[in-house]
Amino acid sequence: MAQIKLNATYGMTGTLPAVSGANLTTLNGSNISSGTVADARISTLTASKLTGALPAISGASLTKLNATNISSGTLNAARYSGGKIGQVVWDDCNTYFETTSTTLQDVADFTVNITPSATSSYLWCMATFNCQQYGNAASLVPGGEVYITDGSDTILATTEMRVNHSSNTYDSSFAGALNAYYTPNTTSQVTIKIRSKADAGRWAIYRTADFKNSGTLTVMEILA
Amino acid sequence: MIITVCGAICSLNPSAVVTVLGRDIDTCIITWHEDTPEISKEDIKVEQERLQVIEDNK
Repeated sequence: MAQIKLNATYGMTGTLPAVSGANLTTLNGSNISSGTVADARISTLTASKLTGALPAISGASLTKLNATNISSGTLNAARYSGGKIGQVVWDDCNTYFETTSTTLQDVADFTVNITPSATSSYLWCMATFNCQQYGNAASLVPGGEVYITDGSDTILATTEMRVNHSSNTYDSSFAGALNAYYTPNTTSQVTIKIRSKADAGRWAIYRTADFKNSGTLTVMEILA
Repeated sequence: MIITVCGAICSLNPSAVVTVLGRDIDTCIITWHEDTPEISKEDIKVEQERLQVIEDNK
C-alpha cells in the first residue's frame, strides 16, 4: 500500500478528506468557525463565563435564591407564608353616644369597612372605648354592653360592665377593650361595627375632647 | 361632672328611653324610643343649665 508522508517542510493545503479525526491533537478552538458544539462536549460553565442578564428562560429549578437580592416588583401575597398582615383599617370614635335604651343599636360613626383579598383570610378586630355609666332614679346599678358585630349584626365579641353605686347621682367611667378573630370567607366588602346598649341607668360611649381617650376600632386582615 | 343632654332628659323624665349622639344640645341628635314623649331642646337646655349650676356649686 502506498503511503504519503507529510512534514512541516512541505506542508499540506486544501481540505482534509472524510477521514477520522479521532487521533488529532492540539486542536485550536479559535479555528472552530461553523456548526454547533454538542451539549455533551460542554462539561461545566463557571460563573466567570456568565455575565449580563439571563435570557427569558424558566427559573423553576433554581435553588438557593437569596431574598436579599429581590430588589424590585411586588411579591404576590400568595408567596407569603401564613400569618402576615394584609391590610389595616381603623376608625376613630368621634361621637358621644349616651342611651337609656336596653335595645342594642349601632354606635354612630364607630364602623369600618374592609375588603379581604382572599376568602381564606381572617379579620382581627380590636376595639378600645371609653364608657361612662350613671345611676338614675330607676337604678343604682347602671351598666351596659358593648359588641363587635359584622354588617349583619352577627355578634363577634361582647363585654358587659356594671357598677353598683351608692347613690343614683354617682357616675363611673372606665376604658374597655374587645377583640374578635374570624373569617368572613369572602372577598367582598365587610362592615365591622360597634353596637351597644344600656342594661340599666344611663350608659355612654365617648371620647375626650382632647382625643387622648379616644375609642378606636382597628381591623387587620390576616392572610392565610 | 358635666351634665349631659341625656342626664338633663332623665332629670325631666326618669323613665325616658332615649339615645343622644353628641354633647351639644344645639347640634346633638336625640332619638326617642318606646313611645317616650319628646321633650323640646329648649326645655332640655334649661334643665341642663340648671343642673350644671348645682353641680358646679357642690
